[in-house]
Amino acid sequence: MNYIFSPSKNKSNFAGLYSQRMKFIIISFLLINSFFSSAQSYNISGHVKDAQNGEDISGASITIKDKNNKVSTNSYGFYSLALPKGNYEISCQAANFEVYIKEIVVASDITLNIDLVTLVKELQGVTIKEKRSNKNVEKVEMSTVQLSSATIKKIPAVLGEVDIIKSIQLLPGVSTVGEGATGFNVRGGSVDQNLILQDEAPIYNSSHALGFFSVFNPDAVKDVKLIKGGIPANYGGRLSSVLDIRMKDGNMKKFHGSGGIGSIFSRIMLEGPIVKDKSSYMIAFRRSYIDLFFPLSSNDALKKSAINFTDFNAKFNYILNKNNRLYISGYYGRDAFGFADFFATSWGNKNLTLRWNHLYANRKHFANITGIVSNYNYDLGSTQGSSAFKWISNIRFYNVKYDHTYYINSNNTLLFGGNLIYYNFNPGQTDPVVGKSSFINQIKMEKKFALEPNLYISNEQTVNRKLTLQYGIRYNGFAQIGKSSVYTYKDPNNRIAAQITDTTVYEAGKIIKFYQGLEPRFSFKYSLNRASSVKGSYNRTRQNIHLITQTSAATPLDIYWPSDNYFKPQIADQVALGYFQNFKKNIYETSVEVFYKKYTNVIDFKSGAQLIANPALETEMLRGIGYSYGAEFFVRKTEGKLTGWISYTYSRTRRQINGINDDKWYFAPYDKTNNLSITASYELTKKWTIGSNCVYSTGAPITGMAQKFSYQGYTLGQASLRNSIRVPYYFRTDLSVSFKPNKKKYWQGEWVFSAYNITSRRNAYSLFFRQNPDTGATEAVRISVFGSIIPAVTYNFNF
Amino acid sequence: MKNILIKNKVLYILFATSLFLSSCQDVIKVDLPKDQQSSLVIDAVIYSDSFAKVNLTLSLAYFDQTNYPKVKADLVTITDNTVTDTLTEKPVGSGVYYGKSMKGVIGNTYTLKVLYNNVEYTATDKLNRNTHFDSLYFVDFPFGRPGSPYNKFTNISHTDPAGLGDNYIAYFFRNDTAFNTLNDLNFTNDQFIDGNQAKDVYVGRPVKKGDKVRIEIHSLSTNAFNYYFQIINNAVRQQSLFAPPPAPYKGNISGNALGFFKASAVSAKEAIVQ
Repeated sequence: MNYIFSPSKNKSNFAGLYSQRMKFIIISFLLINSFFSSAQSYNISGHVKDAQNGEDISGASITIKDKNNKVSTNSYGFYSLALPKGNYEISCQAANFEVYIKEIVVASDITLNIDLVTLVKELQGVTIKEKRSNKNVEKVEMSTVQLSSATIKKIPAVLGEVDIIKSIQLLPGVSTVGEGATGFNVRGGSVDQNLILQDEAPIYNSSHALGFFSVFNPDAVKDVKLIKGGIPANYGGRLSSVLDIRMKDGNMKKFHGSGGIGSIFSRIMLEGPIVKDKSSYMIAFRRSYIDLFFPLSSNDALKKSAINFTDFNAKFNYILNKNNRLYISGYYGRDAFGFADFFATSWGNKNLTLRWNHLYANRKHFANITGIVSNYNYDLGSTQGSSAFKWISNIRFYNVKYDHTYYINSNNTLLFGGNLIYYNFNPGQTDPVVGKSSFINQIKMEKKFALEPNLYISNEQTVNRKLTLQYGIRYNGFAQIGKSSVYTYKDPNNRIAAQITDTTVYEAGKIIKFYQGLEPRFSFKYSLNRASSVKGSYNRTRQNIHLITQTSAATPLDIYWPSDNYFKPQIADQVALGYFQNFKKNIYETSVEVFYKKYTNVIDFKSGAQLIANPALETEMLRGIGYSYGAEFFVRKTEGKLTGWISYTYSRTRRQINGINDDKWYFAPYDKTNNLSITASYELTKKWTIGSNCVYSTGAPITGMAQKFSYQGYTLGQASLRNSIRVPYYFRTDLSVSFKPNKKKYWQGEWVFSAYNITSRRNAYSLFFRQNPDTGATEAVRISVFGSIIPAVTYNFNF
Repeated sequence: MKNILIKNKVLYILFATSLFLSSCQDVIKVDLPKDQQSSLVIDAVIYSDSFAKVNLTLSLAYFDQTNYPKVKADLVTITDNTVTDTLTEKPVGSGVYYGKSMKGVIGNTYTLKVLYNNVEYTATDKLNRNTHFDSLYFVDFPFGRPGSPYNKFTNISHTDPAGLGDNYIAYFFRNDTAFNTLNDLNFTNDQFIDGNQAKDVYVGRPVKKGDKVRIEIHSLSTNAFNYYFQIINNAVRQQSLFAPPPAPYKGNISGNALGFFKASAVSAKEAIVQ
């Protein structure tokens, strides 16, 4: 009590210190308590698999009746938990699978591999047993949607083809600037802020045919998980979202194939065991074929033209023994587009992933080491006459990752690990074509190199039956390394190419600029009852590769640029809060989420920027801040004759960048206030199913013309402020009818008849302003990619 | 000439690509931001061996279909820093002003001054050297409509003087008619061809036997080149799906006036299609 006599300053110090210590002790106690309270226990562990094909099921929940133990399988379907001696009822649930329940007697360590059976729809629909999982309510993850390939296949799609990116654009919080735009925007983020992973390898351009299709062959995809908020610490590198796409490992039980013949392209996927339940393979191939008919044409120019895309997936895995498994997966995708000798352009991603799973002898510690090589490149050129040239650009990416899952006990699952990425950016090089007497001089933009080390640790803690926490932290470092030149400007804050005062050349391997920072991640789930919960999250994300573009949609010619002296890491902080409730025994899932996101070091281009073949891109880009906020409403019916969802998003996204719009706040180009999507599928009979999509969204903001004036006989437009004009709203309805004939012994066929944009609305991709060449009047012209209804027929098969 | 500028070519390819996709276009009504202010527009040139010409107007709101208001300035002058020429409006009320005592000379720098509403607007441009116009000839046009008499194309060769910083624009005349729409704009710089001879460069539109073809090459200052580049971006490339958005013009005129003051050297060749 002597502090009564102390000066008040000391008192507050003492009290502050005391509370710090108390916090530490309480936290330590909680941790110790939860980590070690179940010391006298036995381990129950194993893999959760799909009974039909032996594929691992990630994210399945394992719970023990009347206990608050709860663990989830990791990305490789592994789980582990600890229980004291006794009798228990263990259950396992995953979306689209029947709930698995088993009585177990625990008297020693147990290996329990669980085979889940796919939910079979009860068409008569009278009795629906409590088979469906309430995962969406129970799991701590929020702002996350997992779609199985079966769900995606039910959505009617463009030109009759199922598409992953088009499907996720129907989800709340996900939008696109327009038809034919590649990529997608999540919660007010730009397209490059999505971490798109295909078997852990990054995909820089997720589209084929300038955005009409995505590069993921749906026959080869196992499942898709989109994380918009509460991003766990094991993911990093992009600000706004993670799209984690896992490909099928290959059927471990029997040979199987599927494919389709469509109006635009055909596809085939084959999978099967090499040694049953020990190793398997999966290969998939797609190719579009309009241009296969070009050589038949009588037109010489058309004969030499190309428009096509191809992709190829191959995967192999081998279970060495019960503790070790190897995977190799590869992807090759290419788009080509060209007309006669005039020009040819092609682009594509290539990647290779090697993985080794290892389960330690304690059966609690699961480790995975991954090596990834990826290359995204494009080229563009002309073989015509003396101006023949070829322009190439690429990003190479090498990544070594070491990830661990440690099932400390039934209430704590620890994830930790790290990785090291090496980037090699080639922003562009032009060469004259060899053998042609081209008068083009070679120009070469300097390559850029960078190293990015990351470390993370994260724990998912089931505090009690109601409360689950996930907390973690990620360390991100980024070093731009030589060889590279760095320009010094007269005024570093107002960089002008004509005012370069000095150039410093850094030798190979030398660190030019190093950035580092911590990314805290936190999520909680609090169950109100078995069918409802409240969830909240905060996450910070950092991004060190920047998409340099002037268009709001990604194009095949995107330039990626590393953080350097002038481009600082982009940082986003996001908070999200959600309420989740299921009705009618989990047949109806509903959720409401609100979010607020703040961006630092967001970039935008200067008006009139020259981005192609510019070695000093820092002179064309400006840096500032931004924010997004919004509310998302989601209702989904998962079972019965009618399935589908309604999603509505209200959101706004603005930026403030000095040098743009008089330094005032302005809308980001993908600010779309209202987004509504309805997708439904109705099973008329066992053979006939009808489906429909209906999409509405506010028009995107663009920069147009405000004034016009006369110069040298031309009428020229003077631009408006950035993004101050709106294109008309977007609206589209699609219909599909599918017919499944009776299954033959080894063959199941399916006809899909679809119609895209049945109202024939001319949705604006963009607007441009011109003087009409005939009338001389100045006018706004809408460009629409699809101005009418697009019918298509596809025949799908399974054997 | 477009062929030799890779930047332009890249853009052109994107443009072609997107035209391929965007068959569907229509005119719609769009709301523009309110409170638009009209600006003075100065459209001024001085050619080698000619007097200066200046056209003064006001800008209009983009969808205003009336004629551009003509402007009467208080004073219009041009100087090469030694001699000053005062321009006169001809005819009175037209807003068009002509010089009468000083002709353009290669290598000189000219400054234009316009006094209007008590504000002095100034602009400076250099009359740059031109490329060497070597030859003009005709080649078969492979993509003409079968049976059309317009089955030839005009090619030129020119030799860029050594040293970077040369820019030029080509104009095409068929039977004394200029083909000079925005889509015909054809200009380049020597970034990729410095000091080289550029051969087989397509210029203009298809021609038929017997046509009289005239090609003019005008030199441009780097500022003028950049201005034309802005015209391409704002007025021609906008139809492309991948077009960068329009950007406010940055000319060489002080204050908030629009337009450009251009000084150019001119060389020309003529031939009859055989």
